[in-house]
Amino acid sequence: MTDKPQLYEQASQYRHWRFTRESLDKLRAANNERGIERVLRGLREEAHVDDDHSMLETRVSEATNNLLTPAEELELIDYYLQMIKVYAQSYRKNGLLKPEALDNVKATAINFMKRFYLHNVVFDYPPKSIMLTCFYLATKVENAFMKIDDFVRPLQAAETKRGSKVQTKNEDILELEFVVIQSLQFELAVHHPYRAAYGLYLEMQAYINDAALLKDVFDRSHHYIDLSLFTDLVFLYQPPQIALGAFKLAAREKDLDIDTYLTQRFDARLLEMLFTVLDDIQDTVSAFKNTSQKDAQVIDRKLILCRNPEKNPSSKLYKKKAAGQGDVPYVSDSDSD
Amino acid sequence: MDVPQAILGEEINKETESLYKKEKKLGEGTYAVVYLGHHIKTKRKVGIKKIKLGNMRSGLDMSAIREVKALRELRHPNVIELIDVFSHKTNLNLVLEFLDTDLENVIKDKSLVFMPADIKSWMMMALRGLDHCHRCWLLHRDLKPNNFLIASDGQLKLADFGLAREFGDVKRAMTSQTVTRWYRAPELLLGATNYTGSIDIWAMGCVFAELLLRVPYLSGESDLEQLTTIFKARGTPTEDDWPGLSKLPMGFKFEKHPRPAFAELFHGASDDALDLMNRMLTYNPVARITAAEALQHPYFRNSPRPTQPAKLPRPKQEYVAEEEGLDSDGARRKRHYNDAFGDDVFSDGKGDSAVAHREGSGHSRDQDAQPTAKRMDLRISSPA
Ligand SMILES: Nc1ncnc2c1ncn2[C@@H]1O[C@H](COP(=O)(O)OP(=O)(O)O)[C@@H](O)[C@H]1O
Repeated sequence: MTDKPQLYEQASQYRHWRFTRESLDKLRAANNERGIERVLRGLREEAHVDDDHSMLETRVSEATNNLLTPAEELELIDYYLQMIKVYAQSYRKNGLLKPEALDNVKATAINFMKRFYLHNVVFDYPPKSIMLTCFYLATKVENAFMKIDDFVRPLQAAETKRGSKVQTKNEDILELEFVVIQSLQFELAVHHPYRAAYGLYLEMQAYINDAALLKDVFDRSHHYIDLSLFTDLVFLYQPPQIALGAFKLAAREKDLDIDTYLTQRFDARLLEMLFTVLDDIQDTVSAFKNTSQKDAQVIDRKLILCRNPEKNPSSKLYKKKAAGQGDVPYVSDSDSD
Repeated sequence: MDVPQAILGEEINKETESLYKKEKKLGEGTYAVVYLGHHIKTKRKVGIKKIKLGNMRSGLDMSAIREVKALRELRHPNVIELIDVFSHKTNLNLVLEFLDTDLENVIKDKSLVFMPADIKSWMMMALRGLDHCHRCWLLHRDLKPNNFLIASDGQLKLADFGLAREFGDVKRAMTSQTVTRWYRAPELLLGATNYTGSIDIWAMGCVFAELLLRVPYLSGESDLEQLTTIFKARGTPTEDDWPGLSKLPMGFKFEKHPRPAFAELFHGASDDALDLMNRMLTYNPVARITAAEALQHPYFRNSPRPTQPAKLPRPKQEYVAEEEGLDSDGARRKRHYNDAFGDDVFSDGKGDSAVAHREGSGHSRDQDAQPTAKRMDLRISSPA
């Protein structure tokens, strides 16, 4: 127990991925502002590609009228974060993801995507493809590796079933791996509240007599931890605090008193601080709402008009730049650099 | 807290890359090429490990992911420091602290004489590094002499985390195909998929023995032969030594080999050294000593005190080539002295002469200087 806090303070999650609500807001606003500048610059650059300036004004005004606010960016990202949950379930069903790896893969993928958008905007990288790359990277990081073909096959099957025109290809996922890992600053170890919740459960057994009810509350806390992953709590509090917040929500729902345990376990001053934290966690989790598919579609449609062509593989500008680079193959063995 | 800046992932990466200059190729490993380089501003020497991703159909490979994931979280004087990471096109570059040599080179350099205090010093540093990994719930899974790198100040560092992974989740199966064969714990050879830090300790025990013998202790030629080699050297385990043995995937019956007397093979070693080694090479993984316990073992408290890292023997290319016939005292004198080290656990150097150690431990110079071949004979003939 003694060296635990110190060790956690060494973790990259603690050193580099801790924020306040204000600093998150500021960061996202600044990213959005710079992102918009890049969109406009990219459109002007694209007009130079074949010296066709006739469409420039239309394109710029289209983009300007459809620019996403930081809040809309977040809504769209949230929608695709939900998709991680859906995909995780289907990989589990087809046996590619073992049940015991499910929680960690899902939580890590969600965390990666949230971290990614602290260093990027949706104008450059739309969340749909980033979501898949984060998911695939998370399977590797959480020791649940599957071959890229196995990962992509179910996606393609679903696309065919839906009658979708576009087919996800291996490269779509792999080409973004480096952008993602760079944005994560190569920090891949993520701590989640699940393990802490189990620790709490074991500890509470010494304080709470109704073992069946406690077990019920512990099981239910899993649901609240799942929800917490989608919120910004991961950037604000430590995993054990989030676990305890989830426990409190579950206890309230199941009518179990855990405050007695808390008062026995912690001294009064610490407890006062802890309760403030726990209240915030409970409020945030309770207030969490998914973005609806309809809302996501509206934002997605706007995004088509305000993407940065420099990063859009189907734009003239992108193709020209790629051609200029002599089309670097994805797999490179060269020692030239 | 600082107000975070709106910096793109790509920008951070470019900036990191611009801090370093690659110079020349140092060596090539199984999945990476290592270059000498330096931090442009501070001139600090670094090793840049460029991970080859050729033929990686599924993108970034698991070794690279594991190594980056583990090293980004570990900070300890006895674990190699990962200073930075950047990618260039589709290469991953790990900027590591520059380390001159490794323990395998040291062991193989037969012109070097090891004093008991030297071995104790290496073991202490290795166990400290390992203990730190285990406290962080990380298994190394590939400990062997050439994965202990040595800095110019003599500090030993755990390196090569391409197989490292976290443990502690009992439900999750892990591969038993890990660790270079000679250092692989018996439970792995028997197919265990649920193991703990004890597999690293077994490997560490083998390294301990190798430091004493100057040749690999348990060098089987195939996985099956590896078990036989272990059983011949350490006696075939029974269900009493190792409850649960027969339930392991490959825990079938083996030919019974008696437990030989180790003292003869490790004739130069002190009793406390042998006791610690035996605890590290205990069959039952649950009963095997942990890194934290090993550091508390009397071996580290008893005399001689471990040699200061800066005063440890290290291979000297020039002198190996030029002065091959140097006697061991001469070799001792050739050591590089550096008094900057201030850790009081290590010997202060006052009793650091070869003679003092010889008297203190009954470790004679003749034994030290014994040629490898003779030791090999002993090793082969001792188990009945
Ligand atoms: N941090 C370092 N400083 C200096 N040289 C290093 C460093 N890391 C590795 N090397 C050199 O590069 C070679 C290859 O390293 P590595 O890929 O780690 O080896 P392997 O795959 O054989 O374990 C090593 O044998 C060593 O000579």
